[in-house]
Amino acid sequence: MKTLLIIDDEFSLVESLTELLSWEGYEVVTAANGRQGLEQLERSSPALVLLDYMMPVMDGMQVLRSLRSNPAYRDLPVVLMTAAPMGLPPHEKGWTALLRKPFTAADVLRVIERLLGDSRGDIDRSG
Amino acid sequence: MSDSPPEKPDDLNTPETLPALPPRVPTGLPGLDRILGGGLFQAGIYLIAGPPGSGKTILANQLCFYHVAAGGRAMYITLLAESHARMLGHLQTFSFFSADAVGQTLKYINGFKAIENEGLAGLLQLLRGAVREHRATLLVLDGMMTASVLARSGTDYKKFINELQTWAGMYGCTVLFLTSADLDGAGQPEHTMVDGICELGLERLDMKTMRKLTVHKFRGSGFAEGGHTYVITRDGLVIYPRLESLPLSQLPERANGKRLGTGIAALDRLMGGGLAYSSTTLFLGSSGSGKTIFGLHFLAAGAQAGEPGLLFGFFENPAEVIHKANRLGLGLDTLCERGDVTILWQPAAEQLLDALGERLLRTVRERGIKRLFIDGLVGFKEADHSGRLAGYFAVLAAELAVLGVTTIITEETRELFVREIQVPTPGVSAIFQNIIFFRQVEVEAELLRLLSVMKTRDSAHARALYQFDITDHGIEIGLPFQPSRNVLTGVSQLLAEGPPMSTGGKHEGER
Repeated sequence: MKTLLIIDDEFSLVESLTELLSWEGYEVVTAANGRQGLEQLERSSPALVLLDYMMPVMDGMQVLRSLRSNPAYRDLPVVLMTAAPMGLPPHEKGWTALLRKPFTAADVLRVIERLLGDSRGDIDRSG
Repeated sequence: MSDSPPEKPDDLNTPETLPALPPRVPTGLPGLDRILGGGLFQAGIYLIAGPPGSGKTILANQLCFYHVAAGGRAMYITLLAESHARMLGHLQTFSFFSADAVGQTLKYINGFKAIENEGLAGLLQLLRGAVREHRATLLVLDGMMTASVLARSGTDYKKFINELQTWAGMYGCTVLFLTSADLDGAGQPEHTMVDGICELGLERLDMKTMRKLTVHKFRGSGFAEGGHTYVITRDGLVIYPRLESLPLSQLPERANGKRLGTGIAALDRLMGGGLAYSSTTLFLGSSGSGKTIFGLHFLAAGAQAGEPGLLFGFFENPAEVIHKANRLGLGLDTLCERGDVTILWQPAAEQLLDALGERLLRTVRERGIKRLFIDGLVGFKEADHSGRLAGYFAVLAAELAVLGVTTIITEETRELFVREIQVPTPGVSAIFQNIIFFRQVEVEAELLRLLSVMKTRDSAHARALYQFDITDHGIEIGLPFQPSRNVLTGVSQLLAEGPPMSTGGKHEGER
């Protein structure tokens, strides 16, 4: 079972994503701000991070800088989620994919599947 | 560990694009869609509030059946409302009901056990599963009062709504909350959190009940404010947007000085060449003074000129009107059969002001009407219970002008012999570009018919009183009435011998 890390201060979105991704067969761990997110990253070794752009304590760009400075996480897929209408950071800042809020369940699953290959957790949903 | 840069950014959402408004979800009720500017927004949460009997359940089911008929999927969840069996039994009487959809694209489930056993968390879990598994694009939660009562705290209730909102957004599912709670209750969390609030209300007016829909809030676009009347029919709720709250369709066509013949050449001459294109004219006079006959000539003349006409009447039924017109040789039966003239009769029953306007404008648009004869203003006046008539008619006249319709409206004076000339309906005279006054006077024990052009806009007009007769061949207008005393009292005394009646003589307006 692949582990996904959600770092977002928006409680209802974290709850909904957790529900959705658990249903899809992923193990989900969460953090409510950037600092907790980096701590959770060390503990859970996720296959992919869903990272909010605007957060208290450490925002998404600070997390990205810290994360990419560590060679262990240089290739870790990071999906940056943002509701900001403009002024988004350029791709060079280290995010792998961008999801503009609000997004649909289909949007987020499509991005995750693309970044993680064809695996969707370990649940066989063919039946 | 690789030195390669991160993957190319996903093209699903590029930073250059601003988030667009979600698409609209038509409600299937044309009146409501007009009020909302095109329907609800996908994935929005809307509160429908109203007392028992106001039609919330009918409205929500109407939306569900329309939604699934249009290809969507809907889920109706009840919380201590009436049982599904009873509800479906009642719904079968409506034309929108489709037995084929029930249990397939439209499902009904009861959420009370979930909320009773596990609180709002249990209900949320049920709703999430319903949306995901049924792939619902419309979700109705009937009985929100139960949910708010069973919530442990206000925060719990807010959290429930917030999480449902996020979940609905992720699945593009539009949500309707139905509640019979009073909207006046301050601090109800759902009022601030939902994307829109629509209230259904009942208002007692003497012996009758008026139903009124009011949109209090609608995120994402403007909406027609204020109250809008509705009725519950076999087709469900039929909503009539308040005419004054709607924008005009487009800019008016340019008239370019075009004038329309009334079908009575002598009257056209008195008015400087006929009625101005897309103008509104008032025929004011007592009962029996000839107003309707002049209006019928106007429609018949339009038919000959290829201008479709509409008689929107309140008094005489179509058979009576046709009989009257045919006696004058106007052949109205043939004109109606050919579709050159349409008669819409409003029987003497309780009418809704906005329903009248909707029926009138819809017919005008559908049939490309260019000449309209409304007989008479009092029919609208009797349907007005809120003192709206002046504003209503200003908008109606403007909309008709936009549609290139030239209109004549009759209004009866209260007395047969008028002493004081004034438009009986307060506030409406300003909307009429032309006013023609019909009166009867007694001269030497004989009743004579007279008319005078009191007002024309953009043209000179004759100012004298003219005698006219209604003959088997139609209207005959004579020379100016002889100077006399006391005409306005209705009992006139001749000062000198007058000339004989003539329809071909020179008139004051032509000099």
